[in-house]
Amino acid sequence: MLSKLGRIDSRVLYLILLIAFIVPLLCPLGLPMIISDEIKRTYDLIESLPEGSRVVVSFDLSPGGYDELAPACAAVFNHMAMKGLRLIGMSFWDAGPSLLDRSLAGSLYVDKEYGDDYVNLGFLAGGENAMAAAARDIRGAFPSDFHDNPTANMPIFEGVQSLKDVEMVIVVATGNPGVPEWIRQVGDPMGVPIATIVIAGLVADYAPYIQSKQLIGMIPGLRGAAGYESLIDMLGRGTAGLDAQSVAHLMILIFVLVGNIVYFAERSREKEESAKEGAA
Amino acid sequence: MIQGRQFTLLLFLVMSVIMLYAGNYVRKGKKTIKIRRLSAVEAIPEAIGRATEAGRPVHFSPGLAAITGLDAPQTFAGISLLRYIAKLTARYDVRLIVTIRQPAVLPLAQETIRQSYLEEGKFDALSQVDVMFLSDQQFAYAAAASGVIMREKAAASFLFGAFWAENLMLAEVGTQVDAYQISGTASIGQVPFFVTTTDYCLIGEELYAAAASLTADEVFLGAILGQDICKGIMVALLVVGVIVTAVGSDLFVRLLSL
Amino acid sequence: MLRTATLAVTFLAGIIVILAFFFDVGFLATAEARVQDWGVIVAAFALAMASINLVQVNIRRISSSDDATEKICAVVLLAALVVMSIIGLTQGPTSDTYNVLFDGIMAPGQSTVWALGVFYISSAAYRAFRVKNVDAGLLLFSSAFVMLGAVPIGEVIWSGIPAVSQWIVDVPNMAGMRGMLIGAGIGAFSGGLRLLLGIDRTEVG
Repeated sequence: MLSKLGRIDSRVLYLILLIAFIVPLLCPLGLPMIISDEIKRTYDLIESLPEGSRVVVSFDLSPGGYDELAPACAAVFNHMAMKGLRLIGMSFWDAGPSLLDRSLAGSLYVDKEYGDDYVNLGFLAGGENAMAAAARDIRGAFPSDFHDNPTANMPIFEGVQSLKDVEMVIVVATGNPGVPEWIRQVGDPMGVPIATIVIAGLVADYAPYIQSKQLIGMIPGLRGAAGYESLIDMLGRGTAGLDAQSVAHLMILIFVLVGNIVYFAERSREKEESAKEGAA
Repeated sequence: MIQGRQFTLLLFLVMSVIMLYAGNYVRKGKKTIKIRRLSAVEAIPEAIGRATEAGRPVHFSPGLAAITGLDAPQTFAGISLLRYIAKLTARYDVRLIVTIRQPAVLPLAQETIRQSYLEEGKFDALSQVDVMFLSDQQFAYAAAASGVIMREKAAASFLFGAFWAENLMLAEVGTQVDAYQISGTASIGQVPFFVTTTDYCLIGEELYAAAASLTADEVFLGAILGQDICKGIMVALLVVGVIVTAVGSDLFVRLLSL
Repeated sequence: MLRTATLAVTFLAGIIVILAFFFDVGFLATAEARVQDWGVIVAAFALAMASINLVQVNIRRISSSDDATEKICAVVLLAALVVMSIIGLTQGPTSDTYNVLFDGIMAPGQSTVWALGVFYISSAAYRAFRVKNVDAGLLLFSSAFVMLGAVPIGEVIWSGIPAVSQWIVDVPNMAGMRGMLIGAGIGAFSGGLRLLLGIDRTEVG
């Protein structure tokens, strides 16, 4: 039995995991919500900003990671829209602008005035160099937006020369360039508070920036989305996916456990066999 | 002088002087630097030897980071290891496949390989080398590189540089085709995945030290010495900072804010 | 000659950016802005050059491969490259056609590859995560707490799991991460200085 388990086809594991995902999505378990301090701090900062404040949202992500971050983006954008904050979107990953458009279209910003309440500036190539250029002179770096509208006379930029003039930066990130680059180019030198919506896999990487307060808040993937949805009292996809994520985590730990039981059983069998051979 | 950057400038100057002095010190032969044997580096010839016997290609990835930013040194360390690996593939006439995610890394890898083949006197064998830019999209690259490893049935796969969430995919595909895998990354979040799935792994700064241990180049060895001295200074600053802050003084915080 | 010129440009560009970081002098700020703009332009050219490489490699696959599947894959890749480029250049990345292709093919394709990662994790968890020694045991023990602490089910199993998980992330993990960050920072500084002064010539091959 154990030796069969040891030779199990990977596809069987994949199937078990797939079922572990699907069942909680169809029959939610109603597990309790987790709202960590990092999520709460992001919420509090947005909550504290006066109406009309400008928040830069940098969509530095790949289409692959978008699905994990979309629920959190929707929750945060809805909160910002309800508070009357103005959103300046930009991206240093080429797929970012299209994804930002998609995310904005699914949020309360869809009913707001484009160019006045929100704008999608598009993509700027060059990674950290480009970030530094945008930080120094935002309209110089983005003379036109993603939809080819000139930015020179957009009301949203009145009184904004560099990123020193915005109240907050939110980095939606799946990798680099992302959070560390924003901290280096804007957070530290300009003193603008930065929060991030980030994939769960990067949470450990960015934890030191939270403790050093270089990052004010962090919303980690689906878990962060569920927590944020509960804070703004608008339950959505984050809450729905959290049970599935819980069961998947548990299932992977069960795989590790079973894998080790098989490993130790085989090892003790091999030892016994070699002892017998030695005795013979 | 910009306010708040005086201490940073001081640190910059001190570190620069230390690095240059250490480099000079080693170059003049005043100090012999011994670098700990890294089993991952020692396994490289064995991996290439296995590819030679199997008649299958060798895959190399210099990671997903660009040549600018904090992760750039990982890319450069990867390219330094590529130089060594390309020399071995040239020497043993093994096909080398290099998959690239960052456009700016492409010419760097091409030139490095060309130099290695020239130095080995195997310029004609360059036609056996495939340096492929696959995509600058993280997962498009991961899918394409996995496809290359799978289709070409790479006998050895070297993953040296900065990697993110895609690293497990590349390593698992390598396992599926029974490739001898050696990895190295300073992306700390990804180290556990490489440690569990590849045969050998260079952890963190070992990646930087690997190039020095391979070439015994005085420039690299001097840099390692300089880095170690700077690290000592950082640790001393940390200890002093903790003590000064613990006794209730804000002297250290003010110093850092200068 | 070319090598000397490359090293000179590297030194000039680097020193301008460094000086502009420390000193608030008008002409330095302007020069830094120019250097960074050039960086953006060079990055765009590198992308164009890489695209040429992509086309070359795949034309070679079409002409020399014996495998029909590989040929089809290469044709599909080149067709996708041409179609997306033409639509992107003629209609722009905000056009409906571009959006249909982006939302209908590119985004779901990449999401699928991303999602596949969890299956690779399950396979690796089952086959590779072995408690072969005390270190591996500690790694397993801490990762179990962090994984369970990251999701609500952890609290259901034992109310102390989130606190233990948070402690692992905040204390041992943080200590390791800080050490790595400092090491990587010094490594980056050392590498940058060597490139700037032309001591290490990796960037010129």
